[in-house]
Amino acid sequence: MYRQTVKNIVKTDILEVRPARGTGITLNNIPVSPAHVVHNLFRVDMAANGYRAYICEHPLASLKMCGVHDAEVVGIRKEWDFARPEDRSAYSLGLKPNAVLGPPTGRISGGLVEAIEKVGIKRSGIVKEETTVAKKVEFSNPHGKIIIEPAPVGTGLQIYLKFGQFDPIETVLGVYSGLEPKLRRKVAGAITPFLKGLTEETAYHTLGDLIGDIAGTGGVDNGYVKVEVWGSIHTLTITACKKAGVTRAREH
Amino acid sequence: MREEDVIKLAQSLISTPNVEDTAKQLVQFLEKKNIYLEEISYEDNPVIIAKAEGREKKNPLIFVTHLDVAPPGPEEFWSFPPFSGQIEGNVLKGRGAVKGKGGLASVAVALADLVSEGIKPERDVFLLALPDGERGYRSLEVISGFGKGSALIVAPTSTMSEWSVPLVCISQVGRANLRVKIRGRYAHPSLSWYGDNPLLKIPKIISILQEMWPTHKYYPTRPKEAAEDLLTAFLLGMPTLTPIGVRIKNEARIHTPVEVEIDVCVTLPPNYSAEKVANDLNSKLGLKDATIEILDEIPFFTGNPNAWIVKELEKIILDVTGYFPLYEWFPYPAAAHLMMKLGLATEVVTFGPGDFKLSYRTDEWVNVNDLMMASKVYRRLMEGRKHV
Repeated sequence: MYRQTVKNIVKTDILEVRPARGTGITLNNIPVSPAHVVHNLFRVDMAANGYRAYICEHPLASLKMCGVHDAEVVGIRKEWDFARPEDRSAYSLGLKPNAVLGPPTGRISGGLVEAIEKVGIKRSGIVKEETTVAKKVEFSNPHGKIIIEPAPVGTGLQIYLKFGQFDPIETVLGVYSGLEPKLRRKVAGAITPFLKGLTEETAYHTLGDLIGDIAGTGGVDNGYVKVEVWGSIHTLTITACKKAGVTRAREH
Repeated sequence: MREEDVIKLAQSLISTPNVEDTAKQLVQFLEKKNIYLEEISYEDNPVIIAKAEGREKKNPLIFVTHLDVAPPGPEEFWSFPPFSGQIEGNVLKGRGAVKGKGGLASVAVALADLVSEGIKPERDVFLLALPDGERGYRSLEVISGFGKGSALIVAPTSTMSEWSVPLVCISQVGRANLRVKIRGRYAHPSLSWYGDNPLLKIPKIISILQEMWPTHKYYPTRPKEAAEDLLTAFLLGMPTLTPIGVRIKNEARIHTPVEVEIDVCVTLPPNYSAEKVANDLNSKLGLKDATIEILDEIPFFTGNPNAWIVKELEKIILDVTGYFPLYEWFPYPAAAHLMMKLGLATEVVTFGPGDFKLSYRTDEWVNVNDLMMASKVYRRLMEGRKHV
């Protein structure tokens, strides 16, 4: 099977996704990697080589839910919105508003999923070597607990997520198909609890965060993930990815 | 660095409500540690300058702290005596615990430790303890003689908890105080509809003020929900527009008022001037009998993210706490502008222990872990590259 990228440039109000020239995903010129994460409590920020990107988990979740493996994501926002802490931070560091890649609505997608579906994805001609976690990792912190285990080629990211008192969500993120369309749309539109408080929507937003972190930042195609969370998902997922490492997945 | 030293000094500073006694406590502590001290006076109030000579000829590092605190208000609103400085578990309580004296104790102990261990700091270190931090830091005007330095304003930015990481404030918001005057027409109170009672316009004006600033789009503050659930890291530098006073002109009290004044405190983000806010406010209000006066204005201070002190703080904080700091604005114009204007600093950054949300409120407290974290960071910053 071949790696997938977007057919053409995909544009939303805040970013552009360009067909990749190489493999992997870059965010504002930063190669996506757990090693580049500089903040993972409220959101996931990355920094490398003088570049910085805020709220990385949202575009990464949108790409992975659509089955995109390779892409260049570039922020295009020009206006500041200083009610947003990410904007204040970016301004403090002498950056431009385009450093912030998450939509101001606090939704996962901010129109990106819909835009990718409209433009479509294509195979790049490069054979994909599927990945999984290098070892089983299990740990807990004040925000919840996580177990992540290796899984064979073609099985996808098998997710069990329970957020607070809400019903657990069980699903599979396909390596090529992403998330099944109905759930994809539900996750794409889910708002962060920071702006709306805790509702059932929080669980779906958290699923998006998990996908952005483990499949996106961690680069894990196949694996079993079980998470019970009542606080910040990113402290669990990013730490798990760092602890577990990533390796080539085995055939069945 | 011993926790009990920080607690003991912070307690003794908190227990002295007035500036003179607080200064005495600080001087006593620093003298015992053989730290060079100078005391000058500003409007009959003490200004304490402590100094440790550096091993290299570099621009000095200046810690800006203050000896005064916000008034505690009626004691019956406190659940403990405001100047008790009592410890409960890991919490140090009292007026100034989070804003002023806790941070001052963290710096003083860091400096004392360094000196008593016979370690020379990398560069000259000054600790300024000013009598008027709550009133604009004007006493900085009497300070001179050490050339331009890198200033660290000690103020609450950082609390270590499961929902927080250290925050470094490179910039400081500006502030403007505006006065909205609404004129009315007399009428007999029993037949008020024949006049034009400006008091009745206050709810509409307050409501417009609450809505016009973008903050409220994201963080609606609801009556009786004092936003305890909102995280300091999200709130610290957010722009705000807050009514802070109302005056009613009606000396005779036999007719409806002739004029109402509402004072509004606005924080100014970059590229916002008091005039722009006043114009925006004017057009939103749309009242023909209203005027808006600008009482005072301090513009936004844009710090230098590439300053050595910022880079060094990032490294030290990561090392001490395991977290990269978040970057924010400081939520009011502390001493940054004045330090620059008076030629005392080439760069200014704000970082200190405690949760800013607790400032000025009753039952003020600070977590001792935060004081210790800050004290370790300050010491490392003073020490600079490892002493050989």
